[in-house]
Order: sequence, then structure tokens, then C-alpha cells
Amino acid sequence: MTLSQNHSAGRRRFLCGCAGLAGLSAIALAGCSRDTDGYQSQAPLEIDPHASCSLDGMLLADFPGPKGQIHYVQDRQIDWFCDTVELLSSLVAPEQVRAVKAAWVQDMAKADWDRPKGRWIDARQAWYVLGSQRKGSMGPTAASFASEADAKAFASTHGGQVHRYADIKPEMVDLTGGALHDTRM
Amino acid sequence: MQRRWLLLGMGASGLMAAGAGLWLTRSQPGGQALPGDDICIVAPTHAYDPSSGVSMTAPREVPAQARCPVCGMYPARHRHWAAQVIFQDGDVQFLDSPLSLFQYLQQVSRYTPGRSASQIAAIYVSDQDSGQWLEADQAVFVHGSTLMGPMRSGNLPAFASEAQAQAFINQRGGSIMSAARLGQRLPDELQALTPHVHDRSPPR
Repeated sequence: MTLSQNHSAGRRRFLCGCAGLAGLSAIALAGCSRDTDGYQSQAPLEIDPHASCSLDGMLLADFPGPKGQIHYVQDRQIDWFCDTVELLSSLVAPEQVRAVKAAWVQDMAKADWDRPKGRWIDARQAWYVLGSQRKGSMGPTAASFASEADAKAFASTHGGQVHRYADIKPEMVDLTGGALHDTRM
Repeated sequence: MQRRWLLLGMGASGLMAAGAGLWLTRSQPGGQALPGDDICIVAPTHAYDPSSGVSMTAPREVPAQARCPVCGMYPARHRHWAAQVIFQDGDVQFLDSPLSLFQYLQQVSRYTPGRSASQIAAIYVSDQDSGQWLEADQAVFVHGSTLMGPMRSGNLPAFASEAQAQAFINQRGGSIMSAARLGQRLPDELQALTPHVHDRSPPR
């Protein structure tokens, strides 16, 4: 982004745009001068109204279904995900080479589905229900749970299959819906 | 030498962004009220550029950094779904899809504070086949097809002609709807996808 592009919009709006675009990095950047606060910690952060999905820009606070966050070893910026399928897709992708310090999803046995807040659990220890009737911010989602029992209870009500994190394969959380594979055939 | 200045510039703009971000996070929850015009909006409108050579109400290309005021997405990343609303003063708001557009038109002042539907001069959607801009009034929308929109849910793909829309329906299902119909009321399953009511403007 350059100043000239937004020239007529005025400097204030430019700043606002930057803050909006930087979105979440605001929090991460805030850690620049105080490394001991945010950067060293891998504790889950809470979603603020401007938090945007690192993949598509969607505002997290405005949409239903479980959300996620990934903290990287080498990166101060936290990646937010408006949907767990997106988080899992990023986490289990073979192309994923950035060392992950922590990854968090929400325990949907405790969080409100339509406006989930808090209830963060380790994404790599969690149980997931794929293919249920419940929709997240990006349509079909992966409902996340701390316990297998809660995941099974959810699946018996809303349908879908229960998987532990270790069993999730990239093709199960393919964001393209298989379209890329189609064109290769 | 030149490169060094460039780096410096980049550093400075980074700091500016960081400063704005800090200021944002610090000044939010119920603290001192911000001056009214210091609203920090996720998706600001984009001003008309007279040197562009096109008329004020002509459709414009979507800048890569533009955000949808309804959902926050980057419309440029799903260009065949993109829509735009141009106000009488030439400011434009880009949206990621026809669905977000009709949700936006229901509550213009919520998504673009200080604006209302009566100030809109032109509305465009993208032809699903070609990506070309169509006047929303003239476009033919399809509801209920199997095609997923940018948010991997149902949406309202737009077409330049009924024949195109019908060819699409033969493949993907759905039924034809006009902008006039959708402007009155969205089908319930699409209305249900509207984001939460959540006030992003500061206290006044």
C-alpha cells in the first residue's frame, strides 16, 4: 500500500486503513517493545472486534462457529482463523514449514456456537467432528472439543464423524473442495 | 543510498501502522470517547480519482487491499464474485459478493457510518462467467445452486443474461431472481448468514 493510492482519502483514513489491514498484527506489534509480554508467551489471545482471518480477512467476532489462532516460533504475528477447517488446513498442510509454538481452537462443548468466546484448547490435542449439520463462518466446519465424549455427544445430535487431531489428513480439510484435484485429472 | 531511504520509508509506515494499531487497542473499551470523525473502520471507502479518466459512477477495478464492509474479506481475491457501491460523491465501497451486497443495502449506515442508501449513485456486480461489471439492476441472480460463494456457503452468482443464468442452472440448479426482488427481501437461508449485529463505531 502506498500513500499515493489513498492520497485523496486523507491521511487519517490511510492510518485507519493500515490499522484495519494490519488488524491483528496490532497486538503482535504491540509486543515489539515489550517482548516479555506477548511474544514470549504462547497463551491464547482473545478475539477483538477488529481481528481478521489471516487467510481471507473475515472478521472473527461477527460470525458463528469455532475459531482458531496459531502462534509461530519465529514470528511475532499471530495468525487468526475464522474457521477451524482453515486452521487445520494450515496446520496439517505438508507445505507448512513454520515452526508452530502453539495452536488454539475453542471447546465447543463450553463455548456458545453463534458467538464463541474464550474456551481455548490445544488444537493438536483436540477432538474434531467433521461433516456435521452445523455451519461455521465458512460453511461446513470442524467442530472442536477438548474431550472425545463431548465430540461424540455433538456428533450424535448434529451428525458427522469424530476424529482426533492426529488422524486429520490434508485432504479432509481441503479448502478448495477438491476442485484443484479435478483439474489435474 | 536510494534503497536505504526506501527501507527507512517502509519502516516509518510500519511504525505508523503500529502506532495506529496501538492507539486503537488502547482506546477501545469504554475509555475516553474518540472524536467523532476518528472512527477506525476495517473497510474504509475508496475515493474517486479524477485522473483515472473514467466517469465518477463508472465501475472501478478492485484494489488488492480493499475490504468488504460486511464480512471483512478481500474482494480482489474472489474477483468473479466482487460487487461495488458508488456514492454520489464518488466514494466507492467494494464487497466480496452479491450476498454481502444485499446484506449491505439493508443497513448501509451500519456498515458505512455517515452514509445512507439514498446517497448511492451506482451499484455493480460481477458477471460470474466473465468477471465483467454489470449494473446490479440489469443482472440476473441465481439462488439455491450448488455453487459455493467466497465464504463457502450459498450465495447469489450474477449473470449478464437470462440465457447465461439458465445455462448455469442446468448445471448447478437454483432459480432466477432479480435485484429488485432480492432488495426487498433475501431468501431466509441467506438472511440467516448475515453477520452478528455488532457496533463497530465508537461511542458518541
